[in-house]
Amino acid sequence: MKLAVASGKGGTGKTTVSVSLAITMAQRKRVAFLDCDVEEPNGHLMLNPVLQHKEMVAVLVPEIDEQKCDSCGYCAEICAFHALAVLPGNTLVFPEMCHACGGCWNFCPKQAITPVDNYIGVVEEGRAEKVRFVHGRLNVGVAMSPPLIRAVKAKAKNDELTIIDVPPGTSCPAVKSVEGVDFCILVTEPTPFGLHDLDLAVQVLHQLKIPCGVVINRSDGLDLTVEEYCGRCKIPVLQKIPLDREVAEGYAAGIPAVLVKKEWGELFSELMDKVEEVVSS
Amino acid sequence: MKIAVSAQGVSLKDPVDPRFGRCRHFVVYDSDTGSLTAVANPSGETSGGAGIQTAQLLVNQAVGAVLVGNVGPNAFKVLNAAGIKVYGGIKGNVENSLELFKEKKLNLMSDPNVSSHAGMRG
Repeated sequence: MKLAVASGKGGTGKTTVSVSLAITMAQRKRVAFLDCDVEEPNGHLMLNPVLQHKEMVAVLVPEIDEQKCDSCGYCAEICAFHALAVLPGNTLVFPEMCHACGGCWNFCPKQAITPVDNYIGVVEEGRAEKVRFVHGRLNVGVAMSPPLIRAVKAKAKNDELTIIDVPPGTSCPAVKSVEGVDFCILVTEPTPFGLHDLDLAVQVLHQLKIPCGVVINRSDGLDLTVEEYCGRCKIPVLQKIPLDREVAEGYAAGIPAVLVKKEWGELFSELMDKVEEVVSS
Repeated sequence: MKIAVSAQGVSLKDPVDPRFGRCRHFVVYDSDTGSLTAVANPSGETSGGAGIQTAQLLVNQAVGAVLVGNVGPNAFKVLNAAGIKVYGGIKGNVENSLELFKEKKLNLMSDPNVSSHAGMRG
Protein backbone atom coordinates (compact mmCIF):
# COMPACT_ATOMS: atom_id res chain seq x y z
CA MET A 1 0.00 0.00 0.00
CA LYS A 2 1.09 3.56 -0.76
CA LEU A 3 0.17 5.97 1.98
CA ALA A 4 0.74 9.75 1.84
CA VAL A 5 0.97 11.99 4.88
CA ALA A 6 -0.01 15.54 3.93
CA SER A 7 -1.46 18.60 5.63
CA GLY A 8 -2.05 21.72 3.63
CA LYS A 9 -0.65 23.91 6.40
CA GLY A 10 3.03 23.52 7.24
CA GLY A 11 4.17 22.58 10.73
CA THR A 12 1.12 20.55 11.74
CA GLY A 13 3.06 17.33 12.29
CA LYS A 14 3.45 15.50 8.96
CA THR A 15 6.96 14.36 9.82
CA THR A 16 6.02 13.48 13.41
CA VAL A 17 3.23 11.24 12.11
CA SER A 18 4.99 9.75 9.08
CA VAL A 19 8.23 8.96 10.95
CA SER A 20 6.52 7.45 13.98
CA LEU A 21 4.17 5.46 11.76
CA ALA A 22 7.13 4.12 9.74
CA ILE A 23 9.03 3.06 12.87
CA THR A 24 5.94 1.43 14.39
CA MET A 25 4.91 -0.45 11.25
CA ALA A 26 8.47 -1.60 10.49
CA GLN A 27 8.18 -3.90 13.53
CA ARG A 28 5.49 -5.81 11.64
CA LYS A 29 6.18 -5.50 7.92
CA ARG A 30 8.47 -4.12 5.24
CA VAL A 31 8.27 -0.33 5.27
CA ALA A 32 9.74 2.33 2.98
CA PHE A 33 9.81 5.99 4.01
CA LEU A 34 9.90 8.41 1.08
CA ASP A 35 10.54 12.04 1.96
CA CYS A 36 9.04 13.97 -0.97
CA ASP A 37 9.54 17.37 0.66
CA VAL A 38 12.60 17.81 -1.56
CA GLU A 39 12.80 21.56 -0.97
CA GLU A 40 13.39 21.08 2.73
CA PRO A 41 13.64 17.38 3.59
CA ASN A 42 13.73 16.66 7.31
CA GLY A 43 12.81 12.96 7.67
CA HIS A 44 16.52 12.09 7.80
CA LEU A 45 16.97 14.29 10.88
CA MET A 46 14.51 12.07 12.76
CA LEU A 47 15.35 8.67 11.25
CA ASN A 48 19.15 9.08 10.94
CA PRO A 49 19.45 6.74 7.96
CA VAL A 50 22.75 5.36 6.68
CA LEU A 51 22.71 6.60 3.07
CA GLN A 52 24.29 4.06 0.74
CA HIS A 53 23.24 5.17 -2.70
CA LYS A 54 23.03 8.55 -4.39
CA GLU A 55 21.95 9.49 -7.88
CA MET A 56 21.83 12.80 -9.66
CA VAL A 57 18.51 13.78 -11.24
CA ALA A 58 18.33 15.88 -14.38
CA VAL A 59 15.62 17.42 -16.49
CA LEU A 60 16.01 18.13 -20.20
CA VAL A 61 16.51 21.71 -21.34
CA PRO A 62 17.16 23.09 -24.83
CA GLU A 63 20.65 23.85 -26.11
CA ILE A 64 20.97 26.04 -29.17
CA ASP A 65 23.41 25.38 -31.98
CA GLU A 66 24.25 28.97 -32.96
CA GLN A 67 25.68 27.73 -36.29
CA LYS A 68 22.32 26.32 -37.36
CA CYS A 69 20.03 28.88 -35.67
CA ASP A 70 18.77 31.61 -38.02
CA SER A 71 16.91 33.52 -35.25
CA CYS A 72 13.53 32.81 -36.83
CA GLY A 73 11.91 33.06 -33.40
CA TYR A 74 9.64 30.03 -33.77
CA CYS A 75 10.88 28.35 -30.56
CA ALA A 76 10.12 31.41 -28.41
CA GLU A 77 6.75 31.75 -30.10
CA ILE A 78 5.62 28.19 -29.28
CA CYS A 79 7.20 27.96 -25.81
CA ALA A 80 4.28 28.02 -23.36
CA PHE A 81 6.63 28.73 -20.45
CA HIS A 82 8.59 31.65 -21.97
CA ALA A 83 11.86 29.81 -21.49
CA LEU A 84 13.37 31.16 -24.71
CA ALA A 85 14.03 34.63 -26.07
CA VAL A 86 15.23 35.06 -29.65
CA LEU A 87 17.33 38.10 -30.44
CA PRO A 88 18.94 38.84 -33.78
CA GLY A 89 21.89 36.43 -33.85
CA ASN A 90 21.46 35.25 -30.27
CA THR A 91 18.93 32.92 -28.63
CA LEU A 92 18.71 33.00 -24.83
CA VAL A 93 17.60 29.95 -22.81
CA PHE A 94 16.12 30.28 -19.32
CA PRO A 95 16.48 26.71 -17.98
CA GLU A 96 14.56 27.50 -14.76
CA MET A 97 11.45 28.35 -16.80
CA CYS A 98 11.62 25.20 -18.98
CA HIS A 99 9.14 22.36 -18.36
CA ALA A 100 10.91 19.99 -20.80
CA CYS A 101 7.85 19.73 -23.05
CA GLY A 102 10.13 19.20 -26.05
CA GLY A 103 8.28 21.66 -28.30
CA CYS A 104 11.40 23.59 -29.28
CA TRP A 105 13.71 20.68 -29.98
CA ASN A 106 11.06 18.76 -31.89
CA PHE A 107 9.78 21.62 -34.01
CA CYS A 108 12.79 23.90 -34.66
CA PRO A 109 12.64 24.45 -38.45
CA LYS A 110 16.46 24.38 -38.63
CA GLN A 111 16.89 21.48 -36.18
CA ALA A 112 19.21 23.77 -34.25
CA ILE A 113 18.00 22.69 -30.79
CA THR A 114 18.99 19.57 -28.86
CA PRO A 115 17.89 18.55 -25.37
CA VAL A 116 20.64 18.41 -22.75
CA ASP A 117 20.64 17.41 -19.08
CA ASN A 118 20.14 20.10 -16.45
CA TYR A 119 20.84 18.67 -12.99
CA ILE A 120 18.29 19.76 -10.40
CA GLY A 121 19.05 17.60 -7.37
CA VAL A 122 19.84 14.17 -5.95
CA VAL A 123 17.93 11.14 -4.73
CA GLU A 124 19.57 9.40 -1.75
CA GLU A 125 18.69 5.94 -0.47
CA GLY A 126 19.64 4.00 2.59
CA ARG A 127 18.34 2.30 5.68
CA ALA A 128 17.22 3.56 9.07
CA GLU A 129 17.27 0.29 11.02
CA LYS A 130 14.22 -1.60 9.73
CA VAL A 131 12.94 1.25 7.56
CA ARG A 132 14.08 1.59 3.95
CA PHE A 133 14.72 5.30 3.49
CA VAL A 134 14.60 7.49 0.35
CA HIS A 135 14.66 11.24 0.03
CA GLY A 136 15.33 13.92 -2.57
CA ARG A 137 17.36 17.08 -2.16
CA LEU A 138 16.65 19.88 -4.62
CA ASN A 139 19.63 22.04 -5.57
CA VAL A 140 19.61 25.53 -4.08
CA GLY A 141 18.03 28.00 -6.49
CA VAL A 142 16.02 25.42 -8.45
CA ALA A 143 12.33 26.36 -8.43
CA MET A 144 10.77 23.29 -10.02
CA SER A 145 10.60 20.27 -7.73
CA PRO A 146 8.08 17.85 -9.36
CA PRO A 147 10.65 16.04 -11.58
CA LEU A 148 12.75 15.27 -8.48
CA ILE A 149 9.65 14.20 -6.52
CA ARG A 150 8.83 11.84 -9.41
CA ALA A 151 12.35 10.35 -9.12
CA VAL A 152 11.92 9.81 -5.36
CA LYS A 153 8.55 8.12 -5.91
CA ALA A 154 10.03 5.86 -8.60
CA LYS A 155 11.95 4.17 -5.74
CA ALA A 156 8.74 2.79 -4.23
CA LYS A 157 8.30 -1.00 -4.35
CA ASN A 158 5.00 -2.83 -4.51
CA ASP A 159 5.73 -5.34 -1.74
CA GLU A 160 6.26 -2.69 0.93
CA LEU A 161 4.13 -0.30 2.93
CA THR A 162 5.27 2.99 1.37
CA ILE A 163 4.88 6.04 3.59
CA ILE A 164 5.27 9.34 1.74
CA ASP A 165 6.06 12.53 3.64
CA VAL A 166 4.38 15.18 1.45
CA PRO A 167 5.53 18.81 1.24
CA PRO A 168 3.14 21.39 2.74
CA GLY A 169 0.76 23.38 0.60
CA THR A 170 -1.60 22.37 -2.18
CA SER A 171 0.40 23.32 -5.28
CA CYS A 172 2.34 21.17 -7.78
CA PRO A 173 4.85 19.61 -5.31
CA ALA A 174 2.06 18.42 -3.00
CA VAL A 175 -0.10 17.20 -5.90
CA LYS A 176 2.82 15.33 -7.47
CA SER A 177 3.60 13.69 -4.10
CA VAL A 178 0.08 12.38 -3.46
CA GLU A 179 -0.63 11.29 -7.05
CA GLY A 180 -1.28 7.57 -7.27
CA VAL A 181 -1.39 6.79 -3.53
CA ASP A 182 -4.05 4.48 -2.08
CA PHE A 183 -4.82 6.75 0.86
CA CYS A 184 -3.81 10.11 2.29
CA ILE A 185 -3.55 10.91 5.98
CA LEU A 186 -4.14 14.62 6.55
CA VAL A 187 -2.46 15.92 9.68
CA THR A 188 -4.08 19.01 11.12
CA GLU A 189 -4.02 21.04 14.30
CA PRO A 190 -7.04 22.44 16.11
CA THR A 191 -6.49 26.05 15.03
CA PRO A 192 -8.33 28.26 12.52
CA PHE A 193 -5.25 28.21 10.25
CA GLY A 194 -5.03 24.43 10.48
CA LEU A 195 -8.69 24.05 9.54
CA HIS A 196 -8.50 26.56 6.70
CA ASP A 197 -5.60 24.77 5.02
CA LEU A 198 -7.03 21.32 5.81
CA ASP A 199 -10.05 22.30 3.76
CA LEU A 200 -7.82 23.30 0.82
CA ALA A 201 -6.02 19.94 1.01
CA VAL A 202 -9.34 18.06 1.20
CA GLN A 203 -10.57 19.86 -1.93
CA VAL A 204 -7.41 18.87 -3.82
CA LEU A 205 -7.71 15.22 -2.72
CA HIS A 206 -11.37 15.12 -3.72
CA GLN A 207 -10.45 16.35 -7.19
CA LEU A 208 -7.73 13.70 -7.42
CA LYS A 209 -10.22 11.10 -6.10
CA ILE A 210 -7.83 10.02 -3.33
CA PRO A 211 -9.53 8.78 -0.15
CA CYS A 212 -8.38 10.56 3.00
CA GLY A 213 -8.74 10.71 6.76
CA VAL A 214 -7.67 13.20 9.39
CA VAL A 215 -5.22 13.01 12.28
CA ILE A 216 -5.63 15.82 14.79
CA ASN A 217 -2.20 16.64 16.20
CA ARG A 218 -1.63 18.67 19.37
CA SER A 219 -5.20 17.81 20.25
CA ASP A 220 -6.72 19.69 23.18
CA GLY A 221 -9.18 16.84 23.61
CA LEU A 222 -12.10 18.85 22.24
CA ASP A 223 -11.25 19.88 18.68
CA LEU A 224 -14.89 20.69 18.02
CA THR A 225 -14.41 22.79 14.89
CA VAL A 226 -12.23 20.14 13.20
CA GLU A 227 -14.60 17.32 14.16
CA GLU A 228 -17.58 19.30 12.96
CA TYR A 229 -15.80 19.97 9.64
CA CYS A 230 -14.89 16.29 9.20
CA GLY A 231 -18.47 15.25 10.01
CA ARG A 232 -19.82 17.68 7.45
CA CYS A 233 -17.38 16.47 4.76
CA LYS A 234 -17.78 12.80 5.76
CA ILE A 235 -14.06 12.38 6.39
CA PRO A 236 -13.07 9.99 9.18
CA VAL A 237 -11.06 11.32 12.14
CA LEU A 238 -8.48 8.53 12.33
CA GLN A 239 -6.55 9.50 15.44
CA LYS A 240 -5.88 12.28 17.93
CA ILE A 241 -2.37 12.96 19.16
CA PRO A 242 -2.24 14.89 22.41
CA LEU A 243 -0.16 18.03 22.93
CA ASP A 244 2.85 16.79 24.89
CA ARG A 245 5.85 18.81 26.03
CA GLU A 246 8.21 15.81 26.17
CA VAL A 247 7.36 14.91 22.56
CA ALA A 248 7.93 18.49 21.46
CA GLU A 249 11.34 18.54 23.21
CA GLY A 250 12.17 15.21 21.57
CA TYR A 251 11.25 16.59 18.15
CA ALA A 252 13.56 19.56 18.69
CA ALA A 253 16.36 17.10 19.53
CA GLY A 254 15.61 14.92 16.48
CA ILE A 255 13.97 12.07 18.42
CA PRO A 256 10.78 10.61 16.90
CA ALA A 257 7.64 10.82 19.08
CA VAL A 258 7.32 7.05 19.24
CA LEU A 259 10.84 6.74 20.65
CA VAL A 260 10.25 9.47 23.22
CA LYS A 261 7.08 7.74 24.39
CA LYS A 262 7.18 4.00 23.72
CA GLU A 263 3.51 3.73 24.70
CA TRP A 264 2.58 5.88 21.69
CA GLY A 265 3.36 2.83 19.48
CA GLU A 266 -0.21 1.77 20.23
CA LEU A 267 -1.51 5.12 19.00
CA PHE A 268 0.21 4.70 15.61
CA SER A 269 -0.75 1.00 15.31
CA GLU A 270 -4.36 2.02 15.84
CA LEU A 271 -3.97 4.73 13.19
CA MET A 272 -2.72 2.17 10.67
CA ASP A 273 -5.54 -0.22 11.55
CA LYS A 274 -8.08 2.52 10.89
CA VAL A 275 -6.44 3.41 7.58
CA GLU A 276 -6.59 -0.23 6.49
CA GLU A 277 -10.20 -0.43 7.60
CA VAL A 278 -11.15 2.63 5.52
CA VAL A 279 -9.14 1.51 2.46
CA SER A 280 -10.68 -1.99 2.46
CA SER A 281 -14.25 -0.76 2.99
CA MET B 1 15.30 55.40 -32.28
CA LYS B 2 12.10 53.90 -30.87
CA ILE B 3 11.55 54.58 -27.17
CA ALA B 4 8.96 52.45 -25.35
CA VAL B 5 7.27 53.56 -22.10
CA SER B 6 5.50 51.02 -19.87
CA ALA B 7 2.00 52.44 -19.49
CA GLN B 8 -1.48 51.76 -18.20
CA GLY B 9 -3.07 53.16 -21.37
CA VAL B 10 -2.33 54.00 -25.00
CA SER B 11 -1.85 57.78 -25.02
CA LEU B 12 0.62 60.39 -23.79
CA LYS B 13 -1.77 61.41 -20.99
CA ASP B 14 -2.14 57.89 -19.60
CA PRO B 15 -0.32 57.06 -16.37
CA VAL B 16 2.85 54.99 -16.55
CA ASP B 17 2.84 51.43 -15.21
CA PRO B 18 5.71 50.79 -12.78
CA ARG B 19 5.70 47.09 -13.72
CA PHE B 20 7.57 45.94 -16.81
CA GLY B 21 6.50 42.36 -17.54
CA ARG B 22 2.89 42.86 -16.63
CA CYS B 23 2.23 46.39 -17.87
CA ARG B 24 -0.86 46.74 -20.04
CA HIS B 25 0.68 48.68 -22.93
CA PHE B 26 3.81 50.27 -24.24
CA VAL B 27 3.52 53.70 -25.75
CA VAL B 28 6.27 53.83 -28.38
CA TYR B 29 7.75 57.17 -29.47
CA ASP B 30 9.95 57.29 -32.54
CA SER B 31 12.49 60.09 -32.04
CA ASP B 32 13.43 60.07 -35.75
CA THR B 33 9.93 60.60 -37.11
CA GLY B 34 8.15 61.99 -34.04
CA SER B 35 5.43 59.36 -34.47
CA LEU B 36 3.60 57.79 -31.56
CA THR B 37 2.15 54.26 -31.47
CA ALA B 38 0.82 51.93 -28.77
CA VAL B 39 1.63 48.25 -28.43
CA ALA B 40 -0.57 46.04 -26.25
CA ASN B 41 1.32 43.70 -23.93
CA PRO B 42 -0.46 40.35 -23.74
CA SER B 43 1.75 39.06 -20.87
CA GLY B 44 -0.33 40.51 -18.02
CA GLU B 45 -2.19 37.30 -17.33
CA THR B 46 0.56 34.80 -18.16
CA SER B 47 1.43 32.45 -15.30
CA GLY B 48 5.19 32.79 -15.58
CA GLY B 49 7.89 34.27 -17.73
CA ALA B 50 6.05 37.55 -18.28
CA GLY B 51 9.28 39.54 -18.19
CA ILE B 52 10.96 37.35 -20.81
CA GLN B 53 7.92 37.45 -23.08
CA THR B 54 7.55 41.21 -22.72
CA ALA B 55 11.22 41.78 -23.45
CA GLN B 56 10.82 39.58 -26.54
CA LEU B 57 7.91 41.81 -27.62
CA LEU B 58 10.17 44.88 -27.46
CA VAL B 59 12.95 43.06 -29.35
CA ASN B 60 10.44 42.22 -32.09
CA GLN B 61 9.37 45.89 -32.18
CA ALA B 62 13.02 46.91 -32.75
CA VAL B 63 12.91 49.25 -29.78
CA GLY B 64 16.18 50.99 -28.85
CA ALA B 65 15.30 52.08 -25.31
CA VAL B 66 12.62 51.38 -22.75
CA LEU B 67 11.53 53.60 -19.86
CA VAL B 68 10.32 51.66 -16.82
CA GLY B 69 9.58 51.80 -13.14
CA ASN B 70 10.79 48.34 -12.18
CA VAL B 71 12.44 45.55 -14.13
CA GLY B 72 13.33 42.05 -12.95
CA PRO B 73 16.35 39.83 -13.65
CA ASN B 74 15.09 37.72 -16.59
CA ALA B 75 13.61 40.65 -18.46
CA PHE B 76 16.79 42.66 -17.87
CA LYS B 77 18.93 39.82 -19.22
CA VAL B 78 16.97 39.74 -22.49
CA LEU B 79 16.89 43.54 -22.88
CA ASN B 80 20.59 43.76 -22.13
CA ALA B 81 21.50 40.98 -24.58
CA ALA B 82 19.42 42.68 -27.25
CA GLY B 83 21.17 45.99 -26.63
CA ILE B 84 17.97 47.73 -25.54
CA LYS B 85 18.82 50.47 -23.05
CA VAL B 86 16.74 50.45 -19.88
CA TYR B 87 15.97 53.70 -18.09
CA GLY B 88 14.38 53.56 -14.63
CA GLY B 89 12.48 55.85 -12.31
CA ILE B 90 9.52 56.95 -14.42
CA LYS B 91 6.57 58.66 -12.72
CA GLY B 92 3.33 60.38 -13.63
CA ASN B 93 2.13 59.97 -17.21
CA VAL B 94 3.81 58.91 -20.44
CA GLU B 95 4.39 62.50 -21.57
CA ASN B 96 6.20 63.45 -18.32
CA SER B 97 8.39 60.37 -18.66
CA LEU B 98 9.38 61.15 -22.24
CA GLU B 99 10.19 64.73 -21.17
CA LEU B 100 12.43 63.44 -18.37
CA PHE B 101 14.12 61.13 -20.87
CA LYS B 102 14.77 63.97 -23.32
CA GLU B 103 16.17 66.10 -20.49
CA LYS B 104 18.45 63.12 -19.59
CA LYS B 105 16.99 62.99 -16.09
CA LEU B 106 16.31 59.24 -16.06
CA ASN B 107 18.84 56.70 -14.81
CA LEU B 108 20.39 54.30 -17.29
CA MET B 109 20.09 51.00 -15.43
CA SER B 110 22.96 48.53 -15.32
CA ASP B 111 21.13 45.94 -13.15
CA PRO B 112 17.56 44.81 -12.49
CA ASN B 113 16.00 46.68 -9.54
CA VAL B 114 13.41 44.12 -8.39
CA SER B 115 13.35 40.35 -7.95
CA SER B 116 11.41 37.86 -10.06
CA HIS B 117 7.61 37.98 -9.73
CA ALA B 118 7.62 41.50 -8.19
CA GLY B 119 4.82 42.55 -10.55
CA MET B 120 2.49 39.63 -9.80
CA ARG B 121 -0.96 40.65 -8.63
CA GLY B 122 -2.14 39.30 -5.28
